[in-house]
Amino acid sequence: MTTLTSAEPVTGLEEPRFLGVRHRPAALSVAIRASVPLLLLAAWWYGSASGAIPSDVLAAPSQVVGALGELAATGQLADYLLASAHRAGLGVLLGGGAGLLLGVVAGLSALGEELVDPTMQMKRAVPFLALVPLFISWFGVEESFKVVLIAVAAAGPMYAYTYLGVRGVDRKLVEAARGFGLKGPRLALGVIIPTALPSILMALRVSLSVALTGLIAAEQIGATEGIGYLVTLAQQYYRSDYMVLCVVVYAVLGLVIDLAIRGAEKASMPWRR
Amino acid sequence: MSPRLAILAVATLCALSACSSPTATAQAGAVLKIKDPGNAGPLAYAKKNGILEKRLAQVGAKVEWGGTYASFTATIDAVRSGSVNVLEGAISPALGYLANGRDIKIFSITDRVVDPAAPKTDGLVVPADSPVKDVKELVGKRIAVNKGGRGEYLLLLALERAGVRPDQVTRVYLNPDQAASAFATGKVDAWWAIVRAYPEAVAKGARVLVHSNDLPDQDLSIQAARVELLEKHPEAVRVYLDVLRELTAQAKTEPDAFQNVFLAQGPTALSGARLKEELDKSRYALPPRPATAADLTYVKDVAGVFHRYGVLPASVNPSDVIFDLRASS
Repeated sequence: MTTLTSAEPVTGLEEPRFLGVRHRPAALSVAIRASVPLLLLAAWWYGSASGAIPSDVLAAPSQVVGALGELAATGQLADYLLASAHRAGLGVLLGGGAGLLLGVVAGLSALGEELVDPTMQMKRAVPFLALVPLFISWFGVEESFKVVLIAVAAAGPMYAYTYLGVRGVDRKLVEAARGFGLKGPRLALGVIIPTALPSILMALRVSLSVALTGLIAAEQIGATEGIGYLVTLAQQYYRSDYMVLCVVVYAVLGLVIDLAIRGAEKASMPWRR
Repeated sequence: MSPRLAILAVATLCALSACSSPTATAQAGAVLKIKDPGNAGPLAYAKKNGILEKRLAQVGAKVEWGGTYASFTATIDAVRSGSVNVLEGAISPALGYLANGRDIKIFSITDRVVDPAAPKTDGLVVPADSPVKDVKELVGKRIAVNKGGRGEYLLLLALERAGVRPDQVTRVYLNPDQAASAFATGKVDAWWAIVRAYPEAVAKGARVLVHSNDLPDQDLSIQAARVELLEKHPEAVRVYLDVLRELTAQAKTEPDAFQNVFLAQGPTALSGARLKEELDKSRYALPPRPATAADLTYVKDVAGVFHRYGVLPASVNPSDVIFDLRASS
């Protein structure tokens, strides 16, 4: 035990360091964020222009811009993006919806956990790409096959994160809500899902990126449009400019998804800063 | 709290309506299901101008154009599930399928172009700076071929002729698109480049050791169809073949109409030297002809090579694989 000796004058006191997130000016933050991608872009451009990177290893930025121009001019870019967005959206809606439901059930009740979790953990261990041949024989090669493949891929992460999020909900909060007479779906929708929302949005983020992977696999088979189909075309016709364009499109989509989820986080969780 | 319920409801609705695949059409007429013909060739031309639709209607049949497949193997999955019932290919890749299933038969053969002036369509290529000058010198090298397909067949033939045992080289199984990058970056020492890959490789400076024209190549291009289509609707398949023959003949005289059919730019569009080469190929192309029992020799020969070197575990019974359109009523 220490005792305070009040006789000494209080000197050299330091204000404790601020432990929260320091907010930089927005412009500076954006500039720092953009710096690394821009640096990579500059290295790519310089490497191609100086001849250090041969064009069959990596197409030059000018070629990729040319490819983008061609694709936009023929209207294919918009068609492809729409077709893929439709498939991915539907797949994530179905698979994510199922994953969310199962995650909430497993997270809320012991019986639910016992019934759902072992199967979902097994399902998660199966790479969805291994299911492609099976799914083709069950669903054919048309749209339903593609949507189901993406749904199955998206269900795994959605389930896992939702389950964790629901398990992490403060029991006292649930008790209190029960004290007010909330139960069943109203308890889940009014208390548990909003509290687990950070995890669920994280799950959505992961599900959407998995859906992009699923698109590549699904659109290799029996497709006539889509960004995964574009990857196949670029390979089949040995167009390295289009291959790089696909990479760029995926990168931009990743960025868009990230921004969208950040927006959703801000809008749906005003209490979190 | 209701939005989430609404989403689930929408999801269920979608599951019930939009995503459920259309099942077999109730009509009695034949439906030819063909994969997407791409941007060049007689089938692309036919699709653009609705020629097959028009001609098939005269025998009460229809055509359904499907999607693209990354490889022949992927197309085969579609054939198995019934989403494609008429397909083009070569004898070699079809054998793997014929060895395991009885649901397709070959109904048409395209004879090999023998005119020495015709552009070459494939070759065993090495990088320009490779020390290898002859097939014999490939001993101990890594050679990319497409598994159980034309590349592997031709490599086996070339090795056989040069007196090299196939186990003296390493066969690296890669699809043409994967092989292109492995070859460009020196990950394989040689590559049997076929179809579109061959002119691309040569354009990038690859040196050719041997062409299929130099070998006793029996691996011809074929048209195959699912057996139930051939047996129930031979007349529809005959119309398909007639259209293909007419358009191949038309492409000899006006090849320009058969390239860049749908799009003049984009990944599938050709220009410059590659376009000229394809135009030349069209000028020399031979039309497909109905297959006859005599064509069994080709199938037997290719199957024999594959069986001899253990590429195909089971031997194919060639009599199961040819369908004679003229013999059927």
